[in-house]
Amino acid sequence: MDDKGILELYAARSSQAAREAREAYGPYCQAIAENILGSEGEAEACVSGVWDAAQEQFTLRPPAILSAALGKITRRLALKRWSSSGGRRTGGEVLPVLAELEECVPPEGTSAPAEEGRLTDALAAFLRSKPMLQRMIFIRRYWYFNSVKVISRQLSLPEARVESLLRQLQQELRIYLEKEGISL
Amino acid sequence: MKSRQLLEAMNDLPEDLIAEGKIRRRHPLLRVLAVAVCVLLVLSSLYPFFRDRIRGVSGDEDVPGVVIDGAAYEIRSAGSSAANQAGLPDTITADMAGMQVDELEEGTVHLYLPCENQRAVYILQRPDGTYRYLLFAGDQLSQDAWVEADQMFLTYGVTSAGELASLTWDGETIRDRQTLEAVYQALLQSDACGEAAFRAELDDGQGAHPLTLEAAGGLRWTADYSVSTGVLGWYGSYYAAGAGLLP
Repeated sequence: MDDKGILELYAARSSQAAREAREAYGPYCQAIAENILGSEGEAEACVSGVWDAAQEQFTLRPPAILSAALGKITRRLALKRWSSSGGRRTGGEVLPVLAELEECVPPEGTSAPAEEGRLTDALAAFLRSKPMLQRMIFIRRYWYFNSVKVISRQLSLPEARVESLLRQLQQELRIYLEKEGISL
Repeated sequence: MKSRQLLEAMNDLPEDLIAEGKIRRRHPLLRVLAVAVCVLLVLSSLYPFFRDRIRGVSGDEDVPGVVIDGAAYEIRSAGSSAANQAGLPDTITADMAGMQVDELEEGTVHLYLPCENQRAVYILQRPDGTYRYLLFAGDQLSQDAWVEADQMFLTYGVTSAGELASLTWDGETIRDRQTLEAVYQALLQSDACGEAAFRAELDDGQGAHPLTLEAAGGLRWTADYSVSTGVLGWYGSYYAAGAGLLP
Protein backbone atom coordinates (compact mmCIF):
# COMPACT_ATOMS: atom_id res chain seq x y z
CA MET A 1 0.00 0.00 0.00
CA ASP A 2 1.35 3.47 -0.79
CA ASP A 3 1.79 6.29 1.72
CA LYS A 4 -1.44 8.01 0.70
CA GLY A 5 -3.41 4.84 1.41
CA ILE A 6 -1.77 4.35 4.80
CA LEU A 7 -2.45 7.95 5.82
CA GLU A 8 -6.09 7.58 4.79
CA LEU A 9 -6.33 4.56 7.07
CA TYR A 10 -4.81 6.55 9.92
CA ALA A 11 -7.24 9.40 9.25
CA ALA A 12 -10.12 6.93 9.41
CA ARG A 13 -8.67 5.48 12.64
CA SER A 14 -8.63 2.06 11.01
CA SER A 15 -6.85 -0.73 12.85
CA GLN A 16 -5.36 -1.70 9.51
CA ALA A 17 -3.27 1.48 9.50
CA ALA A 18 -0.73 0.15 11.98
CA ARG A 19 -0.45 -3.14 10.07
CA GLU A 20 0.18 -1.43 6.76
CA ALA A 21 2.62 1.08 8.25
CA ARG A 22 4.53 -1.73 9.92
CA GLU A 23 4.76 -3.65 6.66
CA ALA A 24 5.97 -0.61 4.74
CA TYR A 25 8.31 0.90 7.31
CA GLY A 26 9.02 -1.75 9.93
CA PRO A 27 12.61 -2.41 8.80
CA TYR A 28 13.29 1.31 8.43
CA CYS A 29 12.14 2.07 12.00
CA GLN A 30 13.92 -1.01 13.32
CA ALA A 31 17.19 0.21 11.79
CA ILE A 32 16.86 3.63 13.45
CA ALA A 33 16.08 2.08 16.82
CA GLU A 34 18.94 -0.43 16.55
CA ASN A 35 21.43 2.32 15.72
CA ILE A 36 20.38 4.08 18.93
CA LEU A 37 19.84 1.16 21.29
CA GLY A 38 22.50 -1.19 19.95
CA SER A 39 20.32 -4.25 20.39
CA GLU A 40 17.86 -5.96 18.04
CA GLY A 41 15.57 -7.04 20.88
CA GLU A 42 15.45 -3.61 22.52
CA ALA A 43 14.83 -2.03 19.13
CA GLU A 44 11.92 -4.41 18.44
CA ALA A 45 10.36 -3.58 21.78
CA CYS A 46 10.76 0.12 21.06
CA VAL A 47 9.38 -0.05 17.52
CA SER A 48 6.29 -1.95 18.65
CA GLY A 49 5.12 1.27 20.24
CA VAL A 50 5.60 3.40 17.13
CA TRP A 51 2.45 2.42 15.23
CA ASP A 52 -0.01 3.33 17.97
CA ALA A 53 1.89 6.51 18.79
CA ALA A 54 1.56 7.37 15.11
CA GLN A 55 -2.25 6.95 15.33
CA GLU A 56 -2.46 9.62 18.02
CA GLN A 57 -0.12 11.99 16.31
CA PHE A 58 -1.38 11.63 12.74
CA THR A 59 -5.00 12.21 13.72
CA LEU A 60 -4.08 15.62 15.08
CA ARG A 61 -1.60 16.50 12.36
CA PRO A 62 -1.19 14.33 9.24
CA PRO A 63 2.45 14.27 8.15
CA ALA A 64 3.75 15.47 4.80
CA ILE A 65 6.22 12.61 4.48
CA LEU A 66 5.13 9.40 6.21
CA SER A 67 8.58 7.79 6.44
CA ALA A 68 10.11 10.86 8.08
CA ALA A 69 7.20 11.19 10.52
CA LEU A 70 7.46 7.53 11.57
CA GLY A 71 11.22 7.94 11.79
CA LYS A 72 10.77 10.90 14.16
CA ILE A 73 8.49 8.92 16.45
CA THR A 74 10.94 6.02 16.46
CA ARG A 75 13.92 8.23 17.16
CA ARG A 76 12.13 9.96 20.02
CA LEU A 77 11.00 6.70 21.60
CA ALA A 78 14.42 5.09 21.18
CA LEU A 79 16.26 8.05 22.69
CA LYS A 80 13.82 8.07 25.60
CA ARG A 81 14.46 4.38 26.13
CA TRP A 82 18.20 4.98 25.88
CA SER A 83 18.02 7.79 28.45
CA SER A 84 16.03 5.62 30.83
CA SER A 85 19.06 3.40 31.14
CA GLY A 86 20.97 6.41 32.46
CA GLY A 87 22.84 6.63 29.18
CA ARG A 88 24.73 3.50 30.09
CA ARG A 89 24.00 1.60 26.90
CA THR A 90 27.16 1.33 24.89
CA GLY A 91 26.08 -0.84 21.96
CA GLY A 92 24.59 1.89 19.77
CA GLU A 93 26.00 5.05 18.29
CA VAL A 94 24.54 7.57 20.76
CA LEU A 95 27.66 8.09 22.89
CA PRO A 96 30.02 8.61 19.92
CA VAL A 97 27.48 10.94 18.27
CA LEU A 98 27.10 12.99 21.46
CA ALA A 99 30.88 13.29 21.71
CA GLU A 100 31.08 14.51 18.11
CA LEU A 101 28.25 16.98 18.57
CA GLU A 102 30.15 18.55 21.47
CA GLU A 103 32.43 19.96 18.76
CA CYS A 104 29.44 21.88 17.39
CA VAL A 105 28.59 23.60 20.66
CA PRO A 106 29.47 27.31 20.60
CA PRO A 107 31.72 28.57 23.40
CA GLU A 108 30.08 29.97 26.53
CA GLY A 109 29.07 33.55 25.82
CA THR A 110 26.71 36.28 26.72
CA SER A 111 23.91 35.09 24.43
CA ALA A 112 20.77 33.96 26.14
CA PRO A 113 19.97 30.25 25.79
CA ALA A 114 18.10 29.47 22.58
CA GLU A 115 14.32 29.52 22.88
CA GLU A 116 12.50 26.37 21.91
CA GLY A 117 12.30 25.93 18.17
CA ARG A 118 14.98 28.50 17.41
CA LEU A 119 17.75 25.92 17.60
CA THR A 120 15.86 23.57 15.27
CA ASP A 121 15.22 26.40 12.80
CA ALA A 122 18.91 27.34 12.89
CA LEU A 123 19.94 23.71 12.29
CA ALA A 124 17.56 23.48 9.35
CA ALA A 125 18.83 26.73 7.83
CA PHE A 126 22.43 25.59 8.29
CA LEU A 127 21.75 22.26 6.59
CA ARG A 128 19.88 23.85 3.68
CA SER A 129 22.92 26.07 3.04
CA LYS A 130 25.10 23.00 2.48
CA PRO A 131 25.47 20.86 -0.69
CA MET A 132 23.21 17.81 -0.76
CA LEU A 133 26.03 15.32 -0.22
CA GLN A 134 27.15 17.06 2.96
CA ARG A 135 23.56 17.31 4.17
CA MET A 136 23.10 13.61 3.64
CA ILE A 137 26.26 12.75 5.53
CA PHE A 138 25.26 15.01 8.45
CA ILE A 139 21.69 13.66 8.66
CA ARG A 140 22.81 10.07 8.33
CA ARG A 141 25.31 10.44 11.15
CA TYR A 142 23.49 12.71 13.58
CA TRP A 143 19.84 11.97 12.88
CA TYR A 144 19.93 8.32 11.78
CA PHE A 145 23.00 7.44 13.93
CA ASN A 146 24.62 5.49 11.10
CA SER A 147 28.28 4.68 11.72
CA VAL A 148 30.96 6.25 9.52
CA LYS A 149 31.66 2.82 8.04
CA VAL A 150 28.02 2.37 7.00
CA ILE A 151 27.75 5.91 5.61
CA SER A 152 30.92 5.45 3.58
CA ARG A 153 29.50 2.23 2.12
CA GLN A 154 26.11 3.81 1.41
CA LEU A 155 27.62 6.82 -0.36
CA SER A 156 30.55 5.03 -1.94
CA LEU A 157 33.04 7.36 -0.32
CA PRO A 158 36.22 6.47 1.53
CA GLU A 159 35.76 6.48 5.30
CA ALA A 160 38.47 9.11 5.68
CA ARG A 161 36.51 11.42 3.39
CA VAL A 162 33.32 10.96 5.43
CA GLU A 163 35.22 11.63 8.67
CA SER A 164 36.86 14.71 7.20
CA LEU A 165 33.51 16.08 5.99
CA LEU A 166 31.92 15.46 9.37
CA ARG A 167 34.75 17.33 11.13
CA GLN A 168 34.37 20.20 8.68
CA LEU A 169 30.59 20.31 9.25
CA GLN A 170 31.04 20.25 13.03
CA GLN A 171 33.27 23.32 12.86
CA GLU A 172 31.00 25.12 10.42
CA LEU A 173 27.95 24.45 12.56
CA ARG A 174 29.70 25.78 15.66
CA ILE A 175 30.64 28.98 13.82
CA TYR A 176 27.12 29.28 12.40
CA LEU A 177 25.42 28.93 15.79
CA GLU A 178 27.81 31.47 17.30
CA LYS A 179 27.09 33.93 14.50
CA GLU A 180 23.36 33.45 15.02
CA GLY A 181 23.80 34.27 18.70
CA ILE A 182 22.63 30.84 19.84
CA SER A 183 24.03 29.38 23.02
CA LEU A 184 23.24 26.06 24.65
CA MET B 1 25.42 17.77 28.25
CA LYS B 2 24.89 20.49 25.63
CA SER B 3 25.29 18.16 22.70
CA ARG B 4 22.15 16.45 23.98
CA GLN B 5 20.23 19.65 23.26
CA LEU B 6 21.47 19.54 19.66
CA LEU B 7 20.49 15.91 19.36
CA GLU B 8 16.97 16.59 20.60
CA ALA B 9 16.55 19.75 18.53
CA MET B 10 17.30 17.64 15.47
CA ASN B 11 14.25 15.52 16.10
CA ASP B 12 12.03 18.35 14.91
CA LEU B 13 13.91 19.03 11.70
CA PRO B 14 11.64 19.42 8.65
CA GLU B 15 10.52 16.12 7.18
CA ASP B 16 12.04 16.77 3.77
CA LEU B 17 15.53 17.05 5.30
CA ILE B 18 15.05 13.79 7.17
CA ALA B 19 13.68 12.03 4.09
CA GLU B 20 16.68 13.20 2.05
CA GLY B 21 18.96 11.18 4.30
CA LYS B 22 16.81 8.05 4.17
CA ILE B 23 18.55 4.99 2.79
CA ARG B 24 16.95 4.00 -0.50
CA ARG B 25 17.03 0.24 -0.86
CA ARG B 26 17.63 -1.06 -4.34
CA HIS B 27 14.92 -3.33 -5.68
CA PRO B 28 16.23 -6.94 -5.67
CA LEU B 29 15.66 -7.15 -9.42
CA LEU B 30 18.18 -4.35 -9.91
CA ARG B 31 20.87 -6.55 -8.35
CA VAL B 32 20.25 -9.10 -11.09
CA LEU B 33 20.38 -6.34 -13.66
CA ALA B 34 23.63 -5.07 -12.16
CA VAL B 35 25.22 -8.47 -12.79
CA ALA B 36 23.93 -8.37 -16.34
CA VAL B 37 25.44 -4.92 -16.74
CA CYS B 38 28.85 -6.23 -15.65
CA VAL B 39 28.64 -8.84 -18.38
CA LEU B 40 27.68 -6.17 -20.89
CA LEU B 41 30.58 -4.01 -19.77
CA VAL B 42 33.00 -6.83 -20.54
CA LEU B 43 31.43 -7.27 -23.95
CA SER B 44 31.49 -3.54 -24.56
CA SER B 45 35.28 -3.65 -24.33
CA LEU B 46 34.97 -4.91 -27.91
CA TYR B 47 33.03 -1.77 -28.82
CA PRO B 48 36.04 0.28 -29.97
CA PHE B 49 36.46 -2.09 -32.92
CA PHE B 50 33.00 -1.10 -34.14
CA ARG B 51 32.99 2.49 -33.00
CA ASP B 52 33.99 3.95 -36.36
CA ARG B 53 30.76 2.71 -37.88
CA ILE B 54 28.69 4.91 -35.58
CA ARG B 55 31.14 7.72 -34.84
CA GLY B 56 29.45 11.02 -34.36
CA VAL B 57 26.91 9.90 -31.77
CA SER B 58 29.09 10.97 -28.88
CA GLY B 59 32.18 13.07 -28.53
CA ASP B 60 33.90 15.57 -26.31
CA GLU B 61 31.65 18.36 -25.24
CA ASP B 62 32.94 21.79 -24.57
CA VAL B 63 30.62 22.66 -21.71
CA PRO B 64 31.25 24.43 -18.42
CA GLY B 65 31.78 22.23 -15.42
CA VAL B 66 29.80 21.91 -12.22
CA VAL B 67 30.76 22.08 -8.57
CA ILE B 68 29.98 19.26 -6.17
CA ASP B 69 31.05 19.36 -2.56
CA GLY B 70 33.66 22.05 -3.19
CA ALA B 71 35.25 20.33 -6.19
CA ALA B 72 34.97 21.08 -9.89
CA TYR B 73 33.76 18.43 -12.32
CA GLU B 74 33.77 18.39 -16.12
CA ILE B 75 30.77 17.03 -17.98
CA ARG B 76 31.95 14.45 -20.52
CA SER B 77 30.22 12.07 -22.86
CA ALA B 78 30.79 8.35 -22.74
CA GLY B 79 33.30 7.49 -25.46
CA SER B 80 34.93 10.92 -25.32
CA SER B 81 38.71 11.06 -25.16
CA ALA B 82 38.58 12.45 -21.60
CA ALA B 83 36.38 9.58 -20.45
CA ASN B 84 38.59 7.02 -22.20
CA GLN B 85 41.69 8.50 -20.61
CA ALA B 86 39.97 8.21 -17.24
CA GLY B 87 39.49 4.49 -17.85
CA LEU B 88 35.70 4.68 -18.20
CA PRO B 89 33.41 2.46 -20.30
CA ASP B 90 32.31 3.71 -23.71
CA THR B 91 28.64 3.53 -22.83
CA ILE B 92 26.70 4.56 -19.73
CA THR B 93 23.76 2.38 -18.78
CA ALA B 94 21.11 3.14 -16.19
CA ASP B 95 22.41 0.58 -13.74
CA MET B 96 25.79 2.25 -13.56
CA ALA B 97 24.03 5.17 -11.86
CA GLY B 98 23.55 4.61 -8.15
CA MET B 99 21.97 6.71 -5.47
CA GLN B 100 21.34 10.38 -6.18
CA VAL B 101 23.71 12.63 -4.25
CA ASP B 102 22.96 16.04 -5.71
CA GLU B 103 20.58 17.96 -7.89
CA LEU B 104 21.92 20.60 -10.29
CA GLU B 105 20.53 22.71 -13.08
CA GLU B 106 22.28 20.32 -15.48
CA GLY B 107 20.56 17.25 -14.02
CA THR B 108 20.77 14.84 -11.11
CA VAL B 109 24.10 13.56 -9.85
CA HIS B 110 24.43 9.87 -9.03
CA LEU B 111 27.12 7.63 -7.60
CA TYR B 112 29.15 5.74 -10.19
CA LEU B 113 28.43 2.18 -9.11
CA PRO B 114 31.21 0.24 -10.91
CA CYS B 115 33.81 1.99 -8.73
CA GLU B 116 33.04 2.48 -5.07
CA ASN B 117 34.65 4.67 -2.47
CA GLN B 118 35.83 7.37 -4.83
CA ARG B 119 34.79 10.88 -5.76
CA ALA B 120 36.58 11.14 -9.11
CA VAL B 121 33.62 10.08 -11.21
CA TYR B 122 29.88 10.60 -10.86
CA ILE B 123 27.05 9.99 -13.31
CA LEU B 124 24.93 12.92 -14.44
CA GLN B 125 21.40 12.17 -15.58
CA ARG B 126 20.28 15.05 -17.72
CA PRO B 127 16.66 16.29 -17.83
CA ASP B 128 16.23 14.53 -21.20
CA GLY B 129 17.13 11.21 -19.54
CA THR B 130 20.54 10.84 -21.16
CA TYR B 131 23.70 10.26 -19.14
CA ARG B 132 27.08 11.88 -18.96
CA TYR B 133 30.16 11.35 -16.83
CA LEU B 134 31.18 13.97 -14.30
CA LEU B 135 34.98 13.88 -14.11
CA PHE B 136 36.89 15.36 -11.19
CA ALA B 137 38.74 18.52 -12.22
CA GLY B 138 40.25 19.68 -8.94
CA ASP B 139 39.21 20.92 -5.55
CA GLN B 140 38.47 24.62 -5.34
CA LEU B 141 41.60 25.72 -3.54
CA SER B 142 43.13 29.09 -2.85
CA GLN B 143 46.67 29.66 -4.04
CA ASP B 144 47.97 28.95 -0.53
CA ALA B 145 46.04 25.75 0.03
CA TRP B 146 46.73 22.19 -1.03
CA VAL B 147 45.46 18.67 -0.65
CA GLU B 148 47.69 16.08 1.01
CA ALA B 149 48.82 13.14 -1.13
CA ASP B 150 46.66 10.61 0.73
CA GLN B 151 43.60 12.69 -0.17
CA MET B 152 44.69 12.67 -3.80
CA PHE B 153 44.78 8.88 -3.75
CA LEU B 154 41.48 8.70 -1.84
CA THR B 155 39.84 10.77 -4.58
CA TYR B 156 40.34 7.76 -6.87
CA GLY B 157 39.53 5.17 -4.24
CA VAL B 158 43.13 4.21 -3.48
CA THR B 159 43.66 3.66 0.24
CA SER B 160 46.87 1.64 0.03
CA ALA B 161 49.68 0.85 -2.41
CA GLY B 162 47.97 -2.46 -3.06
CA GLU B 163 45.10 -0.56 -4.71
CA LEU B 164 47.41 1.10 -7.22
CA ALA B 165 47.39 -0.96 -10.41
CA SER B 166 49.97 0.78 -12.58
CA LEU B 167 51.71 3.97 -13.53
CA THR B 168 52.61 5.11 -17.02
CA TRP B 169 55.55 7.36 -17.62
CA ASP B 170 57.28 8.24 -20.85
CA GLY B 171 55.27 5.66 -22.80
CA GLU B 172 56.11 2.83 -20.42
CA THR B 173 53.59 1.20 -18.09
CA ILE B 174 54.93 -0.10 -14.81
CA ARG B 175 53.01 -2.72 -12.85
CA ASP B 176 55.86 -3.91 -10.63
CA ARG B 177 54.51 -3.97 -7.09
CA GLN B 178 57.75 -2.89 -5.44
CA THR B 179 57.96 0.17 -7.66
CA LEU B 180 54.31 1.06 -7.09
CA GLU B 181 54.74 0.67 -3.33
CA ALA B 182 57.82 2.89 -3.41
CA VAL B 183 56.06 5.59 -5.45
CA TYR B 184 53.00 5.47 -3.20
CA GLN B 185 55.05 5.79 -0.03
CA ALA B 186 57.26 8.51 -1.48
CA LEU B 187 54.23 10.62 -2.31
CA LEU B 188 52.59 10.03 1.05
CA GLN B 189 55.74 11.14 2.84
CA SER B 190 56.52 14.08 0.58
CA ASP B 191 56.26 17.72 1.64
CA ALA B 192 53.24 19.28 -0.04
CA CYS B 193 52.46 22.86 -0.92
CA GLY B 194 50.01 24.97 -2.90
CA GLU B 195 50.28 26.88 -6.16
CA ALA B 196 51.74 30.06 -4.66
CA ALA B 197 54.57 28.30 -2.82
CA PHE B 198 55.31 26.08 -5.81
CA ARG B 199 55.67 29.05 -8.16
CA ALA B 200 57.79 30.95 -5.65
CA GLU B 201 60.11 28.21 -4.47
CA LEU B 202 60.02 25.01 -6.52
CA ASP B 203 59.24 25.79 -10.13
CA ASP B 204 62.46 25.75 -12.14
CA GLY B 205 60.65 26.60 -15.36
CA GLN B 206 61.76 23.36 -16.99
CA GLY B 207 58.23 22.07 -17.26
CA ALA B 208 56.84 18.69 -16.32
CA HIS B 209 55.60 15.60 -18.10
CA PRO B 210 52.44 13.56 -17.65
CA LEU B 211 52.48 10.66 -15.24
CA THR B 212 49.35 8.53 -15.39
CA LEU B 213 48.31 6.49 -12.38
CA GLU B 214 45.71 3.76 -12.47
CA ALA B 215 43.70 2.50 -9.52
CA ALA B 216 42.81 -1.14 -9.09
CA GLY B 217 39.18 -0.29 -9.91
CA GLY B 218 40.27 0.96 -13.35
CA LEU B 219 40.10 4.70 -12.82
CA ARG B 220 43.06 6.60 -14.25
CA TRP B 221 44.34 10.07 -13.55
CA THR B 222 47.24 12.10 -14.82
CA ALA B 223 49.54 14.28 -12.76
CA ASP B 224 52.56 16.26 -13.93
CA TYR B 225 55.99 15.18 -12.76
CA SER B 226 59.19 17.16 -13.14
CA VAL B 227 62.30 15.01 -13.20
CA SER B 228 64.49 18.07 -12.62
CA THR B 229 62.73 19.18 -9.41
CA GLY B 230 61.19 15.87 -8.33
CA VAL B 231 57.84 17.59 -7.84
CA LEU B 232 54.53 16.02 -8.79
CA GLY B 233 51.69 18.45 -9.46
CA TRP B 234 48.01 17.60 -9.23
CA TYR B 235 45.30 20.26 -9.59
CA GLY B 236 47.11 22.96 -7.65
CA SER B 237 48.71 20.69 -5.06
CA TYR B 238 52.41 19.90 -5.36
CA TYR B 239 54.32 17.02 -3.79
CA ALA B 240 58.10 17.14 -3.48
CA ALA B 241 58.56 13.41 -3.91
CA GLY B 242 62.17 13.56 -5.06
CA ALA B 243 64.02 13.32 -8.35
CA GLY B 244 64.39 9.55 -8.02
CA LEU B 245 60.64 8.88 -7.80
CA LEU B 246 60.63 6.76 -10.94
CA PRO B 247 63.07 4.00 -11.91
